[in-house]
Amino acid sequence: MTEKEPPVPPIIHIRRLTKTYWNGDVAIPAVRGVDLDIEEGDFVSLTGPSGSGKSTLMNLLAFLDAPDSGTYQFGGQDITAFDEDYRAELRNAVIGFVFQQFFLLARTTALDNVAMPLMYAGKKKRQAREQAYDVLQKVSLEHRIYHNPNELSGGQQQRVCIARALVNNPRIIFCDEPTGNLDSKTAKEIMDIFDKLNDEGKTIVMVTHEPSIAKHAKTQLCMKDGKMTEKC
Amino acid sequence: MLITHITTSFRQLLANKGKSALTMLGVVIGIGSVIFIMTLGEVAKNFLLSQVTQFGTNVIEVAGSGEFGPLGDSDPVAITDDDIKELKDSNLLPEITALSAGYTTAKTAEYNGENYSLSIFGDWPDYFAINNYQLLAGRFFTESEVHNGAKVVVIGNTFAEDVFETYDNAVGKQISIDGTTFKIVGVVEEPAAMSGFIQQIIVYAPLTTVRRLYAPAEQQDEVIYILIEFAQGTDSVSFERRLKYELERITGAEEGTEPFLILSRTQFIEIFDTILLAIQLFVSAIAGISLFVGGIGIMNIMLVTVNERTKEIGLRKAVGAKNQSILIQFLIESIVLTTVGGIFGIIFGLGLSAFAVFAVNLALPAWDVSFVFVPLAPILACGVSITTGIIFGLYPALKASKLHPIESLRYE
Ligand SMILES: Nc1ncnc2c1ncn2[C@@H]1O[C@H](COP(=O)(O)OP(=O)(O)O)[C@@H](O)[C@H]1O
Ligand SMILES: [Mg+2]
Repeated sequence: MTEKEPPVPPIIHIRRLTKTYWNGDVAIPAVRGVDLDIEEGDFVSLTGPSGSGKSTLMNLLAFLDAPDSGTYQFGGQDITAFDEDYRAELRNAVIGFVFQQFFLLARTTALDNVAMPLMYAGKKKRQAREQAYDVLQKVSLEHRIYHNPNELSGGQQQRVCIARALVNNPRIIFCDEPTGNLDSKTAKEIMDIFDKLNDEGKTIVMVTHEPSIAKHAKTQLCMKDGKMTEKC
Repeated sequence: MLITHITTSFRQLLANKGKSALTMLGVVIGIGSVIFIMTLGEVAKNFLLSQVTQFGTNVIEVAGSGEFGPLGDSDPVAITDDDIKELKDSNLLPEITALSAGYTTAKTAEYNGENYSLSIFGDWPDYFAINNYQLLAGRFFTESEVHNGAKVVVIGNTFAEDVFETYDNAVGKQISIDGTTFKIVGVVEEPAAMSGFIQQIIVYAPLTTVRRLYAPAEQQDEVIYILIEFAQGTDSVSFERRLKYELERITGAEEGTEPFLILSRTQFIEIFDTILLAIQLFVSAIAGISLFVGGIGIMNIMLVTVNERTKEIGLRKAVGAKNQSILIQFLIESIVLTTVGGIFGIIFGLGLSAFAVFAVNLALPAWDVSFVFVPLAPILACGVSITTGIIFGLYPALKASKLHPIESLRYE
């Protein structure tokens, strides 16, 4: 009781992370030695010109891809050497994704779209649907749960995506240009949801090239030519 | 998860009804032919079995010299009436319960200005008993008529119907066979197989009459076939061996010349089984080719599906699907495709079989063929369908499972 509490490690701690793509013999260094710490509960925006490596970095942070070199500790645990299956499990357990293009399954109800990640966690369909309903309620779509994506507006589709990202109660949500396909009014509604989620304590990392969107973040990071920069 | 995969597969299938139907066609035809040949094989076997049991299965037929001739190139060996008597009384063959031996030849008959080609069998009255022939009108000829060489004949029901309309009407009529006038004394029910398919008229007359009229001088005391009925429960292999030994001893045939063709009725079934197996193998080969072509089609549509749904695969992987989950998902889709095809194939095959049975009954009512459901056939068909789905779905599913999540999401 009198002992000092151990310091909470940052949720994301990366050092000298690199990723190079190869187009035949031509190297495309997309991420060139990035150091970064993200604290639990933060709302981070990542801006920078197109092609600066934002998406690539986000994919590395979200275990969607393995870095060529550097170290990555997630919640204090070194996950640099994790294999593909392990990374899939980790994504399923602690990560939520919101994509610019939504990526919803066609001919599948909003409810089942949201429940889908839980199926890979081995949840029973009934329970998965119950949890999916709860998060759809959270994004005010409880009256649209049996609609297929093509029967929903863009804003509604993106809210289904947010619900899908939340359904496994992740420790961190990654968004890649989440408002890129939305008009400004709908974009604001979506950003309000992210603000609210962050107020409730969710850690959010958002890739965007729009300064107005980046303004919502507590920590604004900038990238250029595969590296972090001070000024945007 | 499994149920989710299956429902997804059906949704996918229904979303591309036309394409799916075309793809499944090969499987439908392949499975349909498997069902068809299995069912019809069983139908035919049952029919044949009923025919043979109608005749009596405890009967052995021996063909000697003359028209039926021995197989092979050995010299024909004559069987005489004395040989038959000796055979009947043989101590080595106590199981013989009835025996008839006869002479047969093909002749032309004439009635009311019409000519008919027919086979005339000369035999003893026992012939009818051994073959289990049922009398429809009149009577069989008698032993004394055989001794007297009476010019009487017994005819089959088809011939009676065709020429005299009713059975009773036939009895007492005179017909001319090869210029000799015979009196019809009876009408018998022929085995169904003989009346429909083998369009051959057979009439039965006393042995002595037939021989005297139609056999060459040196064959007047010879027979060319023997029908032997033996007691139920006889060891037929041993009986046949002893019969062969006795025949060769009595006729004085040279050793090792195989002058007789000994056919038991059960052997007919074995011969038929061999033929049926050959046909079944042939149709199975066709089914196999059809399934192979169908399988290639399945593989093709699955490759197209994987390609079209690259983004979906990327998304599933992004939210935590492992390679194995994706593999299983697409394997199940391919299995659902082939199984649905297989079910249609089963329906198609059963329908076709039922129609074939119906058509045979329509054309040959006397055969009275009945439809047989072979429970093994649909089980086998389902197994084959699932196996086809696995074999031809494996490559596309493996391909899907190995896709990289990011590249799949970026795929255009
Ligand atoms: N899968 C890939 N293959 C080859 N080059 C890629 C791939 N993904 C990204 N790149 C390249 O890497 C660089 C960074 O891309 P990206 O991370 O998407 O940038 P941003 O998201 O900032 O626009 C770009 O030059 C891009 O063309
Ligand atoms: Mg990008």
